Amino acid sequence: MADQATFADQAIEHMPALFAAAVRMTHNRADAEDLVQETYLRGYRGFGGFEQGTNLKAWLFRILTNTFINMYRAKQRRPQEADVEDVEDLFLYHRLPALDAATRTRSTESEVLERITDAEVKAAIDDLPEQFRLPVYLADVEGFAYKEIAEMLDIPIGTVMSRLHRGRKGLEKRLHDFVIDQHLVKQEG
Amino acid sequence: MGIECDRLLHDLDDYLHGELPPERADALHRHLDDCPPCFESADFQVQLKSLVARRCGEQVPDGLRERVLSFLNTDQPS
Repeated sequence: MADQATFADQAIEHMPALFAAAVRMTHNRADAEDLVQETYLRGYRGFGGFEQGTNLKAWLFRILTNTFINMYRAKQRRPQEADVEDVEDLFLYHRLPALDAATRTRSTESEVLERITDAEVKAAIDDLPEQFRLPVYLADVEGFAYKEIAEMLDIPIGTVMSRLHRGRKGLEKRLHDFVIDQHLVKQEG
Repeated sequence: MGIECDRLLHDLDDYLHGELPPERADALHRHLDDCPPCFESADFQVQLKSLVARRCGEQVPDGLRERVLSFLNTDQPS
């Protein structure tokens, strides 16, 4: 059982990760700030139930996710059946060579990727419907295990996997749109 | 890349996340060793994942850390 007096010391270092996730969840910095404060308050009150030696960051993210779902999702009224367009595996990779096969090398690939901006990656994540956005963010930005994500979102691990599979492809499709928009590569005829 | 490549690469993202069952992970790992085009696509996917993870930082608003620490300290038993 964890001592409440040590909560702030242990938990405060996770604030940048919690805040960044909260912005992607709420699409709004002011709401994200409220969400993070509420997460710390609930974390503090529930810290007795945290088992020392287990992953505190995952525990805090579980509170963040639950708080988001309870406080914000109801009022957003985002249709849960929203889907993402299904595209081929490795969509971005397969679309780049067709665009400029002659000069493609590992370093030109890196160049194209590195010119994708923070704002574009964030927009691509934000554009995913929530049921895909949360698993993709938790897995690919935060690096949580699928099992941890299943617990955070309270859905079966198979559902996590299928949403990740579609959500990641949706993300690649959107990033590809940005690459095209930037005229970094010539569009296929 | 053939049908076998496509079938194996379908698991690539899960593999890179360390989430494939051992038998399927071994099969994909062996394939990537033997098949340069698939290895290149896996390498690209690693770069893409790294990019996505690095591009999502947000600056924590001024004062949020202090506000949270302050209410945590106030709320604590003396």
